[in-house]
Amino acid sequence: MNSFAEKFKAEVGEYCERLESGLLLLEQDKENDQVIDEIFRIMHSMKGSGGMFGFDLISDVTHDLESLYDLFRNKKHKIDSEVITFTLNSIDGLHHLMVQKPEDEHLARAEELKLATRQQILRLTQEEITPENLKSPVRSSALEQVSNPVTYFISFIPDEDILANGTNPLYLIDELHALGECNIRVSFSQLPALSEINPEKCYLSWNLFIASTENVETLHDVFIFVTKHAQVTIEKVATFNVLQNEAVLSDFLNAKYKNEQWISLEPEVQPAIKTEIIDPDENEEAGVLLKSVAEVSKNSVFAQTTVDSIRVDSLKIDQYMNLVSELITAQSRLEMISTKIKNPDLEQISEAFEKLSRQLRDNAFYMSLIPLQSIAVRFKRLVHDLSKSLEKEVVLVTDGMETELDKNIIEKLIEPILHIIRNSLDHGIESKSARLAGQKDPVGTISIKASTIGSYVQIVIEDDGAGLDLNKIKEKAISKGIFPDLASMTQEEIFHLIFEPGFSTSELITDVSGRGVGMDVVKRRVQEMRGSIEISTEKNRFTRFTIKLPLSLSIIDGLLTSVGESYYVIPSSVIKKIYTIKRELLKTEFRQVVELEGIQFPYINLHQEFENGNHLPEEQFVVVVAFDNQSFGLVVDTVIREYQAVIKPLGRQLKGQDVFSGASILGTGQLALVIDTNKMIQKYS
Amino acid sequence: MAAEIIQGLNSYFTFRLGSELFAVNIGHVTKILGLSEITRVPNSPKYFRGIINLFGDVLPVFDGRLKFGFPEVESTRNTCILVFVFELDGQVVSSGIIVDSVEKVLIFESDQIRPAPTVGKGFNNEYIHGITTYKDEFVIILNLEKIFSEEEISLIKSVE
Repeated sequence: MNSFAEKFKAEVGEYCERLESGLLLLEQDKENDQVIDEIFRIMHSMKGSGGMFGFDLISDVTHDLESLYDLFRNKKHKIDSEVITFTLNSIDGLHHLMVQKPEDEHLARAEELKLATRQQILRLTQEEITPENLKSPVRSSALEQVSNPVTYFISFIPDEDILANGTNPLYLIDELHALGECNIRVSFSQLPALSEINPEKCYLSWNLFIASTENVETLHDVFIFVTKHAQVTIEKVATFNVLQNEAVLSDFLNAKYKNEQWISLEPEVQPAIKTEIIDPDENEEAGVLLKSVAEVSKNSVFAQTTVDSIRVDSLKIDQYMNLVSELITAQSRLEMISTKIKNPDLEQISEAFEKLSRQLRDNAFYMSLIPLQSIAVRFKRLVHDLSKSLEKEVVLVTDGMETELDKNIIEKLIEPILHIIRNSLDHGIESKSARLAGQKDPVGTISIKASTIGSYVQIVIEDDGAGLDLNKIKEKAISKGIFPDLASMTQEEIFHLIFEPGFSTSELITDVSGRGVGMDVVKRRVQEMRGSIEISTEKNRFTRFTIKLPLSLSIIDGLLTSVGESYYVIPSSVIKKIYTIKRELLKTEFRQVVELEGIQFPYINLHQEFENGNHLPEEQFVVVVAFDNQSFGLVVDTVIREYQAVIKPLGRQLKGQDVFSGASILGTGQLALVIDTNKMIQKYS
Repeated sequence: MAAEIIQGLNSYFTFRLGSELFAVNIGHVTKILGLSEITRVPNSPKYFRGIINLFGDVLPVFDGRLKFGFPEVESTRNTCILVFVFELDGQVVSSGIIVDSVEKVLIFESDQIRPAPTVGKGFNNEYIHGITTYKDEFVIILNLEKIFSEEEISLIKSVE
């Protein structure tokens, strides 16, 4: 297989994903022209690259689909649910056509898809004459009017203390940027001398021209939370997009800024020809005069929506991460030498080097993270398809999908989550009639919520269905004869039986779920990623799965500590506080509990655990870390300093232990073990 | 650790533990290191001495004496770490083993090597590839792959 074909396949995968998410959006808002345009555009690109790489079937089928969507794009017809479902199915069909040398089977499939597409087109074009559709031209002309951008001038002068209430003025500017093309200038005129600057005050103000299709209210809404802390004036300066014509723009700019020193945030727009300065009052008139010029240049929504991203082989990212790791190891050696030599020049370089490598590390780290958003569309798709085939009405609510996780973890996460959703749809959410009988909202809800807690990411998947049936699980367990000792089990333990291999409580085996393979695989997968899965449920109310996963961390911020003669790194993300403590305070406690600032913590004395309690030092440090929702003390001999740890795996022979997540090489060449605090506390307490 | 096992060599690397002479196929040996500071991993079995920094990677190090049941002794200037590679779960991994001294590289043709004798219980002769002689001395050729591929070190929780 040549690499072009591989690239094309990857590309088609991405196109399909984007198509799916677009179609699902359309489902909610069938008249969203931008989405229809986007879909049309993607189909067009697919057609083009399919032909280019010799995937003729794909290009054939997408050609027909494109014609179908052309109908909606030209506003000749309205899109309906049937078309959306049809298109989604066609996209699935496309996956099977990704062959360069088609066989009969492929050709037949392509023919089928094309025929179906033509039928859709036919269905729509025949419906055309119904009176309902006659309204559409009116609507479309109304839409056109709105889509003409209008240029506004906004002056935004924040009060000095605007930062005090947590506002970041730049976010507001960003928000404006999202509404249209902007030309932004910032004024430093109020900026005092460096010695007088109060970092908590804002001395800047902004002026900007914005060409937007939104109305004035929307622009005002951007500043809705700062009206008390800033002077905002918004005025309409022209009924067209001034920013697209450089000459006109420079006139406007000159008019606005002639008396003041403003600094452009954009690359300087150099007026090619200086025309006479137009007075601000005459703006309206000038606008009218120049309108014809501006009308020629079209509104470029697409130019703005292009995504600034490039595709990089994940292998390259891994290599990059490795190089950064080595750089940091080298840097810590440099730092050590510089502290030894005490040469101020060298120290300066070492410090700069440290700062840079830290930034580089963060950069590399975030590069390998992707948001859950990237897989959310698959969940939506599943809920959409399955709820239809099961004749249930279910909405999927997602929250925190911007939470980022390592790419590898996300890939492994898809199947388990899909399976849980499948179960919820099939077994959890009741049929419409059963829900009505139970006085519940006939529309079921499945929610996926993700959040970052310390060094873990938590994903909660919940449905408001029937809940797990304790008795059914018990019966099943007995009938299978695997778990005879139910009496001594807690309710929770019984619920966890569903994670056992070969366990399925559904009375009817459907083709959706219920084959008894699944939940055990889900659990195993999560555990493979060093995560955990919990379940909680209430009859007729909900079933909730809570998955906890570690953020992938090959480089972390940590605290370097020592116990006996060895060094240990505790990840900073879990550390809450550090105390010093006298030996007798730890000794007098009967139980392993220590009281600090009036709060009691359970603790583990690492010296006792690691060094068999020999030579306990007089004074030790208690590092308070988060463990689940509690605090837990880890007692170490000394706390040395903060430390950027590059985690090296301990090797396969040591994978039987999980207390240490790896080792890090110190500047001296010595090794420090990195403690996985959760695992350590579980094991030693 | 981009090390690979070189197959099909008839050269053997010899070393001593106590008074015994041992050998491993040279295709498995990558480095000989002087004894350096070893970072102990708490609560691991005694024959697992810990980990060292091998040019930026972590290398687990075993104590050959304890592993093969010899009494523990103070290290001497001849004590060193033999770094070898073997296959574990389909991947080539490196480990170090502390030996009393390294000797020389010897060539044994396969017809010179006799299979390990089946003596007594409690002696797993799977670990021994074969036995040969050199200057009237027995040389035990070890099957390192077998010895260390079954090794998975779990930490023992200290007993209160």
